[in-house]
Amino acid sequence: MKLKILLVIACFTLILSFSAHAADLPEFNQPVVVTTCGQSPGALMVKMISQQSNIDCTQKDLLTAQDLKDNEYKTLIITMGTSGKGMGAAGTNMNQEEKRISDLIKTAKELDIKLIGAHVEGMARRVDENDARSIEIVIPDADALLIKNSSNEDGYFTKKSNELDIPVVFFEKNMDMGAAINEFFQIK
Amino acid sequence: MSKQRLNIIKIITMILIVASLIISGKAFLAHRNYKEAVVAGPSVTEVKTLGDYFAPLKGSVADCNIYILDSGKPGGTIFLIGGSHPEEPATNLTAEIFAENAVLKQGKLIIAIRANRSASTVTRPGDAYPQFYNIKTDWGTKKFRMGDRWSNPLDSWPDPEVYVHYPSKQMLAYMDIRNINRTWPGKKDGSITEQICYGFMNVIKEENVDLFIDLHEAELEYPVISTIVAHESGQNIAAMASMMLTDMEFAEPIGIEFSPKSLHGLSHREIGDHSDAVSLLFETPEPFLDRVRGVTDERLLLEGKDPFVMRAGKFGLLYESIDEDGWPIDVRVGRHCSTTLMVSQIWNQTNPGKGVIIENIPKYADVIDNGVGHYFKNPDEAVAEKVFYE
Repeated sequence: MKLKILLVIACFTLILSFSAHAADLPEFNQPVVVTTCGQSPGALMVKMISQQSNIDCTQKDLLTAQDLKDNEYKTLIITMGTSGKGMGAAGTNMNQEEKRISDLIKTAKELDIKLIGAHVEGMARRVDENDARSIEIVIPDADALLIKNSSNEDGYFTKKSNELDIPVVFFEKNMDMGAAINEFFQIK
Repeated sequence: MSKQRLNIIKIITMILIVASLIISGKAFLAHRNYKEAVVAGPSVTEVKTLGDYFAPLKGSVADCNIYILDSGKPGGTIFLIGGSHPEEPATNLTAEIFAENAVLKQGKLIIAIRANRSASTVTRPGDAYPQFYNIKTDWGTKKFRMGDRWSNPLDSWPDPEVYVHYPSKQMLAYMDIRNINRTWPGKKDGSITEQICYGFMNVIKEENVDLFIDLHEAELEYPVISTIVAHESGQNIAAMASMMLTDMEFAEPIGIEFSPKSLHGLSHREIGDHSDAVSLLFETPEPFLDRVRGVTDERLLLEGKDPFVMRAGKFGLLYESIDEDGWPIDVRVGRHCSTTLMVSQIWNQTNPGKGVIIENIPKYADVIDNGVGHYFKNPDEAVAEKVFYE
């Protein structure tokens, strides 16, 4: 009996953790394209988890505004947090990333593509100025946020979402990310 | 000062210098010639040496053992190397746990415990490195050579003014011509370190290696830490492994980094580019390597506790957390064991028909519970044919 009660409590906690601000979520549709502001592997993680949930999701780490115009994406996910090695691998830098992402956001707004800002790699991607910069580039224009709890240890994303009135879906573990992403697309 | 007194001082000085040379020379020689006994595990079917794959290295200081664990059941081949940088002890200790314990149920596992043997025959006396470290086992204490990041200058001297990497022609720091993780994919007629990589590339090609894993440790001041660095061909495996390990096993997360295309000489870049193998590199935190560390001794090496590194963390100068518990060797080896196992499991799921099933290797929690030494076999109790020396 005790086990059952614990199980029910755990389930409720899990559901509440996903839907903390889910009531305010706007409608997001597929297909989805995910890119990264700062070339960290977050976009790869979001793509892999989304595809496991059968969400039509394409990953393009160097997605351009023209790509948005040439395709019929309905939702753009931009992961925040940077990787020096990743930017080296992609042959880019933070200044170029800022320009690319700013152009992307502008074009997404013009094309009425919804934007989700995601921080899914924990505090390891919130250590330096580039990480902070990538967050500041994305957050103000996001229609919603997808945030791992460990990225929000200092309450930064909670504060930002309240300040900017942006709905946010938090998740605890990587394996919970799929259910959290499903919330955006009303997938049960 | 009288001439006679001056001569006495000169003679005493000379005696002191000669005595120092003899004492230190004997210590250096003992370290260079110290042999670590390894008991080949139940699945080891053959022990070759690097010289079997590249003849000029046969019998040289670079001629490390290559342990082949063949299940006899068709599948893929994983190549695991430790000791690329012998100042990173979790790497050779992990590789040795695999060599002594792994039971292969499918496919083949190849292991090099001391990938750069030359670098394991020298330390950094100027940095106060200990020459040896000792691991407590169930049957006594096992002694290991501490090493350096670079091949022994006795084996590779002099360094060039600028090291020009082959074949990219990228210019790198002069001493990195002795750094095995800057000399991939190697050069047939190059320096000894370039030849070591050339020999390993021959192993990869001749043994049809599918997945290559290079174990490392890093200072907490370095941004590439607690992570899997992946060539493009291994990004999905690395991402899935990092997510699973962070969720299910590790107290502190493990990340993933993409291998830069324009930084040459590193295993995760060159092996993926110059062979059919998927290449990955794992990093664990080693406070001993931090420049801000305090007393540099065997205790710091194995316990990973340092008040100065902790203080640096409080000032936000580190890329990994550290507290009073430090980063003990059991935690670091446990992370490498679990990461290797998780990567192999994901490899098996994503590459049907090329599976490599490895059993009897402890996971992260097991190593922490039992200690690293628990997994080392007693060479005195093993049959002579099963004992090999590193």
